Amino acid sequence: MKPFLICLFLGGFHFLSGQELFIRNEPASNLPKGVTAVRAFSEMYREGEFLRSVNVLRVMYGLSPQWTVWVQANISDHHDRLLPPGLVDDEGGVLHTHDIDTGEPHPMLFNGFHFFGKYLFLKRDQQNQHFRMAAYAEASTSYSAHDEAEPSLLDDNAGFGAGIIATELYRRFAASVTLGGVMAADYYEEETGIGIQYGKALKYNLSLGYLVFPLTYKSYGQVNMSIYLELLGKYSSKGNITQNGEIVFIGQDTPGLRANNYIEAHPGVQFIFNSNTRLDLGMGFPLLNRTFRHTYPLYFVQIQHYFYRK
Amino acid sequence: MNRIIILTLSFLFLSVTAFGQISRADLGINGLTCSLCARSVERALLELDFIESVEMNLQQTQGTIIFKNDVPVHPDQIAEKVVDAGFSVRYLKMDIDLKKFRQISGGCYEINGRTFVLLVKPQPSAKSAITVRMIGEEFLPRKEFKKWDSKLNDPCKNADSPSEAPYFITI
Repeated sequence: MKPFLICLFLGGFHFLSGQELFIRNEPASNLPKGVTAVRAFSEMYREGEFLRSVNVLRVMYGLSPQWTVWVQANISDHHDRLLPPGLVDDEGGVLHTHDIDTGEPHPMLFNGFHFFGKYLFLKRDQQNQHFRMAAYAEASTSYSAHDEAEPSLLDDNAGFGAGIIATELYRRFAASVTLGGVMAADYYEEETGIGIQYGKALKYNLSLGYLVFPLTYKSYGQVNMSIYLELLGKYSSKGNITQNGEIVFIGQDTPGLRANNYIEAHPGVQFIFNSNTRLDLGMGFPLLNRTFRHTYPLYFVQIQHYFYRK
Repeated sequence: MNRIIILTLSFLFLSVTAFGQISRADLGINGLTCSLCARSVERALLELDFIESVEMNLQQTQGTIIFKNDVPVHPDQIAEKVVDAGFSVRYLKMDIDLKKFRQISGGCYEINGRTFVLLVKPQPSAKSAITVRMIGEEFLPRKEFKKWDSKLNDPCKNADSPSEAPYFITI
């Protein structure tokens, strides 16, 4: 028998968009349990006459209300398979680091995998708002001949990291703080006997998001738009270069190997289609000092889609 | 005339069938502020075999659930799905017909092997079709649950009671 249906028309649906779905940082919130998200993103910058990029494919899964995990693979032309020739000069010192303003082109190479797990340990939900805290841990493999001291688990380095995230969402506005550490594995190439000991890094990020429109929704099918501003800060300690196991002299003109502290501003815009597919566009600019891993501006584009169980 | 009476009674009977003790529910959700999130909650709820349809209203951060007539309803599974989607239950109010439950004693009722303890005594003249609110850690915000915690005793527990913990409801 056909079920008896009560059709309650509630005067239209009213939805608010995902203003805590930050572009460059993870919020403390998790994926819904059993949902698979597939994400592809590309981060690009101009170096001399050409464009360098890292291109990533990520598969995320909501294991439980407390756990979200992901695995991602990346290709990039940031570096070659071996360090630049002449990095260590004939006298056994390093006088100049890779000049990223007029660098050499590299082939697009597969760098490795990155694994991530996030555990939500605090949840305080109220109507139209919530506060959450999560801890994360990450590990990566990399074959890249990364020749700057600043470690990055995105594509440049093998290593691991961990940190905590705190996210507050209130109606149309969201703010989140991420604090984490990065430890990269040493790099060594047998062909030259050269090794790199990377600095350790501390990340400190502030993410802000705001729903712009629509003000009132009538269906899941309407386009949502949010704007974001994320401040990405990173301190990294100095690195060392070794040759045949001995630390080599490093000269003054080697900013890429020094300890560094910088903050970048990353504004961005996000569109969500059909309350599922998400498109993010962003840029990165230096706010305090600069990194030596890329030039500015940084261009960022990202797309993601959820796959539900049923 | 007899045929009309029979048809009318049949219509009334069919609109509340053998399992139609719980027909619909209003579900309030906390922590919910995005359409993608609302959709995730709706998809999670629709995985339950006793739910016919869900309509989300994010303005009031609530959903209206219509249950299937021929499948037992499990309120704890509704709360579990909200948590699975990443949120919390603010309230779960259900339209029930107490006449369709088996009354154990006093304020205790049994249906489909589960005990429902009515924490507030209904008036003698009250209708049997009422809206009740689920009371429990999974059905309330933490602060609100603390007010009820000490009152959640099962007065009808005996050797014949179902082995699973009872549901507590209030009017």
